[in-house]
Amino acid sequence: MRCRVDRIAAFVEDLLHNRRPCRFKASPEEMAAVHAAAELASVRPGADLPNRQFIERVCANIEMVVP
Amino acid sequence: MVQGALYTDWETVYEDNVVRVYRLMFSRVGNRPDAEDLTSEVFVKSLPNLSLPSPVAQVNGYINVAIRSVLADHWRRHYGAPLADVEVENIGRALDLRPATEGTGRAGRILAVLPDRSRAILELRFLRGCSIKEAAREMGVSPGNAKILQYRALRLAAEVGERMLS
Repeated sequence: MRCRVDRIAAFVEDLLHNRRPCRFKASPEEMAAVHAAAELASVRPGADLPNRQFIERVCANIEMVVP
Repeated sequence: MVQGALYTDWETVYEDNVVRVYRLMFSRVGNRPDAEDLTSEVFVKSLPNLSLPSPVAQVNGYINVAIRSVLADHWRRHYGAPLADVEVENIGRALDLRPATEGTGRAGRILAVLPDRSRAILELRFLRGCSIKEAAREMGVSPGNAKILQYRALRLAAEVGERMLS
């Protein structure tokens, strides 16, 4: 139980700092908590808007792969 | 350009879809680095296999298939989630996401029906951005107990979310 609590706490901490979260083999219960945390992390206003540099970078990548 | 219901160039396909794909990915993974990687993967994997001109509905359907596949692969690779545990059947719901506004939308409804202490710990952490120590102090518990409360609250939130979908 303690391990699960700590793993999810670390995962949440990463989300709240907008970092790539820690990876781990999740039990079904942890997976449910991971999904819920990810959804809640997206509710802060504006959190889910992409930045312009990212949009332009992907567009450039696509131009290299489309026929 | 979109002429009638046809896409005729890649730029328009991308411009019409990139924000919604990114926001959907963000709502599923909750962080910018993963959301960016997964969004990029969706377009780089799906667009080269499409031929234009193509109907808008067909292109959107193709992108949705790529979203499901990329997300399922993400959860399987990084968290060992078996395919059955990966929520990929409700992509259509998430595509209707409106701009995130605090306390509204699906996440807001989930929080609203949680027991008081579960709602409180999640609001302190996710809406007010409190550290675990700050949240613990607000709730009058130790940081260790705040982590336990947070874990249990997230599992409860997941159950509530599942019931909302069913």
